[in-house]
Amino acid sequence: MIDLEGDYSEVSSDMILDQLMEDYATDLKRIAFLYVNDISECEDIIQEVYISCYQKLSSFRHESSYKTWLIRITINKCKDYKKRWSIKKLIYTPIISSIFTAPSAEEQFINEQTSRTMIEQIANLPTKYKEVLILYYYQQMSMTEISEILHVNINTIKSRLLRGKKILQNKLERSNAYGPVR
Amino acid sequence: MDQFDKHVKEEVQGYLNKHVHFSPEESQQIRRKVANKRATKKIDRVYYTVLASAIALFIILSLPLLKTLNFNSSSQSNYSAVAENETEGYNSLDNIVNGKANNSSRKMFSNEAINDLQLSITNNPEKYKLKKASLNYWSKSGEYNDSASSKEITLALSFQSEHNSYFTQIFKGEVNLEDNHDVIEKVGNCSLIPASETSSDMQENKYIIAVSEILINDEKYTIIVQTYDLHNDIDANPYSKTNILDFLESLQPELAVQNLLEIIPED
Repeated sequence: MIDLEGDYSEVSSDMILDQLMEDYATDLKRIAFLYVNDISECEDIIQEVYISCYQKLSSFRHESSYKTWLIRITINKCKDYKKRWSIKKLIYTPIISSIFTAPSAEEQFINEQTSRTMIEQIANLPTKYKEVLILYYYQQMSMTEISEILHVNINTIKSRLLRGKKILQNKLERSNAYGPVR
Repeated sequence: MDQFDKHVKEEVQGYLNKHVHFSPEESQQIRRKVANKRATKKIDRVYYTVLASAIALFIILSLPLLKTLNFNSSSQSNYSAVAENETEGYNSLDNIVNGKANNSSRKMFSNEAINDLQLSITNNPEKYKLKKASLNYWSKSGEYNDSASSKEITLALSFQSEHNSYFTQIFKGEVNLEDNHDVIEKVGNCSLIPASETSSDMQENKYIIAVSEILINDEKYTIIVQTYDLHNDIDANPYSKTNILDFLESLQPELAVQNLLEIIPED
């Protein structure tokens, strides 16, 4: 195991890439999934993230941690991907992803529906709220960390979090899948 | 963190832990792609070195010849300047597409070209303003960066009305909606995809996609309208049936396809 935040000068780019995949790929894939709500798209995004990361490794200035840097790349790639979102999405991937189907038991089905609805509602939020909520709920980051990743003022992050939560809460309460969220 | 936060966090994390993982196959795929990039980079380096050497050699060999020619003619220089200006100011669709567009997978239209399109393809230009227009290139493999040889061109248009935005795509061929959507509503020649495929009958359905097809010269063309938030660029909110159909009806599909036909390279 390589200590990536320590002396990296002797380590080859390939080794760093391997280590970065081992350490963060699952987290990044989940962030991308929350963002785009589509499993095949988020796989493509993660590939692009790591290829980009490899290409920029030599110019990485270590002003932030690798994790922060990779999350930032992932969010930017998700935004780019959404901009490209068009006919490709319609042709190649259904809006309701196949991983959401075929539950084995009724209870599991209901639980799955609840989680699924919640993830769909998060993915459908306006971008500026969605990215804050993803980092807050999934990565459990502080306002300062979120502000650093998104390059947005901390007070703006706070107000986006509150507003985003409010919108999400309203959407979930209006949802027919289950009752009000408390 | 309050109760709501905890609830959302548990649901989200539980779901992700169960369903979303980074597999060793994905890791292998990334390593393969990185290796390919590295190989391409080396080839590119050799290519550009050879190219630069060839250009340098050509210049060195041409210098004696150039010296024998007369370059003091002002008329020649004026002619060049005019020609350059004409090229810069020429914004026809042909020039945008054939001259430059094949260089990348997405090519934005100039404001002048957007104005021309606005007048030609909507019969209600006062209500629906064309804000952005671009050509997107797709390949059958689904790879994004495959523009040079791509004949799968989509004319993408972003319209804005007083309250809504509409993302419209026009392309040759058809889409198999049945494969991707369980619920498709037919209204005349148009197929509508509701926002929630499970919504109850009590509520009026809202829609995210409207698709219509048109036959021109025995070829099928598809026009897809998607709800869109122009300001946020990506997020789509569902619209009522009236809203989405009214927009679709305001389009002049034959003229839109005609614009696309001017762009698609001939077989």
